[in-house]
Amino acid sequence: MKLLQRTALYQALLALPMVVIGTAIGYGLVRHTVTHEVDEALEDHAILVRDRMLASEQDLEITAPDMLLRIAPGTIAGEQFSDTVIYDTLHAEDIPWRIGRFPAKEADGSAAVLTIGRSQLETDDLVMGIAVSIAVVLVLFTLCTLLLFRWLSAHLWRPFHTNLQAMERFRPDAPIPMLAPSDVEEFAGMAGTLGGMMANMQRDFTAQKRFTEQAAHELRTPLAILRGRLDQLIQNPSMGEREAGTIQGMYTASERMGRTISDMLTLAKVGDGVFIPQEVDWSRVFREELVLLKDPIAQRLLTVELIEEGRCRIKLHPVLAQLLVSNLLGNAVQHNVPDGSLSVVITQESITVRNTGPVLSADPASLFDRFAKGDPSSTSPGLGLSMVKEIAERNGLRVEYMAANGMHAIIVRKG
Amino acid sequence: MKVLLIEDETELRRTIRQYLQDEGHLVESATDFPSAMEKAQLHSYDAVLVDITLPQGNGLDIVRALRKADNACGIIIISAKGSLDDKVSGLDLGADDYLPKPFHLPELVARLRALVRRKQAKAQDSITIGTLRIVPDDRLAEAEGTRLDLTGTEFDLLHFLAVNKDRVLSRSAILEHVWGDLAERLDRDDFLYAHVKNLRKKLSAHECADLIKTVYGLGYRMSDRA
Repeated sequence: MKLLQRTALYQALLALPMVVIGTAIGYGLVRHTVTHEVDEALEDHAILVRDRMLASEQDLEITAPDMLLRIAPGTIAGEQFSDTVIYDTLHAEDIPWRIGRFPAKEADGSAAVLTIGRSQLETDDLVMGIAVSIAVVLVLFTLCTLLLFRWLSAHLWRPFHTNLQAMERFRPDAPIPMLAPSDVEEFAGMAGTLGGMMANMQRDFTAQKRFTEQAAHELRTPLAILRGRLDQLIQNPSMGEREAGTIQGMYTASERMGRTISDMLTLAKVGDGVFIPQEVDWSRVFREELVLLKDPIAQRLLTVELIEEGRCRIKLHPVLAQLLVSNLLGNAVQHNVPDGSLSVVITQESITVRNTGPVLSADPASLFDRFAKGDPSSTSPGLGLSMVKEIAERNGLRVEYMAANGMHAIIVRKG
Repeated sequence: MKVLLIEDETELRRTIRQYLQDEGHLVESATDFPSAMEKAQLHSYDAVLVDITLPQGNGLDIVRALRKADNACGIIIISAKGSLDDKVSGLDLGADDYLPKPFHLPELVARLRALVRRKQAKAQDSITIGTLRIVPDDRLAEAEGTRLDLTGTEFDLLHFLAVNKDRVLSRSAILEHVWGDLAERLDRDDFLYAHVKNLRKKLSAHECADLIKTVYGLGYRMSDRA
């Protein structure tokens, strides 16, 4: 849920009880005031009637649709007020009345009770009218406040959203995106911190890139000299068997070093974050890489199978996709057995490369570690599968290894 | 062939220069940007080998300047940076080839030869060794006038050996030329051996299997001499 929606929801939840309670309190207050007024009117009326009783006036009792007056012999302690409902035969409905009972004296001095009542029909309508007005005003006020707040929040939070978008666009190899200026202290602080962080990342990225390039240059140049000198040295016709062996050893070492250097530099680049994932036609990438591997596959007499069960939705930058596939296949061919098999199964969610091969002597858990080798005497630097893992992890994918019945499977799937 | 070698690393420059001279090329060299620029503009060469990282300048600027002056010489960039950007921009600027360091010298020789072949557009440029004739453009190999039925890999192998005639080629140089990056990921000495064996078998039908000589412990050499 978006920040603005959530704020609005909380505000609405808070406003609802306020409207209800506000209306209730308003209604109660009005009702109380009106009742008080009616009671006073009844009292005034009673005083008037008492005087007329003392003056021995007759026919004081009244029966009207909105008023009644009764005089009965008897005593009560003091004034008493009460609400009651009287059935009105004329309108055929119950009507609320306010009744006051007052002590009085007849002209002859005997005690009497005065009962005066007034119909509340109209005052009730008035009270309801006022209560509804209060409710309407409160609801309108709340709505206006909510809308105003929403607009204000949208306006206030604008730098935040702009900065968020800027950060989503950020790439270490592109210019730093503009952050929204703001006179709100918090947002200004955030923009400052973010700007600093992005600048730092960019500096680190540039430094690492420069280091990688320098390292590449500094390591490869002497290697080129070494190789060139060796290429020259072997032209010597008077070379003996021993010298040849020595030189071959140097070739092997120089090759191994070259491989390690390029694998390590590639690994460093994979971590750069400049490779944006895209849709990949995995089946095509596998077919292309299999063509490159046709010689070693033919030599080992491997049976190769490529099954595409569905268009795979795993996204990766084309360069990384090619690197991933070539490492997976290279591994499956390299660690295979004569007359073995190699199968690739592509589904919507996963890619599985399965191959026959000797039982793994190393711990399967260390399979994806850098410089881990199944065969310690191998001249391979052991970076192939760690490259697979690195590419996968950097792009939110998972890699698993499974082995059963002389078959090894590496599965890449969405994380 | 007249070659200008622009490389600041003394040892590497000397090595390349010697090797190319032994191949019969005329090699001039430059060690920094200004002198390289001067030589490139004053004299004409069949091919220019240029390193990207140079003292006082960038090799790519030399490529740009040469192409701007409509200089038709072949240009090969040799660089240790190994970055894809450099390769792309180098080729965009008009370089003909890009050879990442470290490379094997026979590879450089093969690239130079291919470059000059393309530049001079010599129809049916062919290499003849004994009774063997190779036409690279048609990917055709003949022995005693009969076309040999070779696989793509076998042709590449034969062609690479022929281009570097009379030279000992190490196994690593051959593997890297024929199988490229892939060679790096395979333990493959027996692998090369199998291909050479097949190739020799096909050549032996025409009595030229001896052209490919095994240099014990090191690699192979193609020669029509004993």
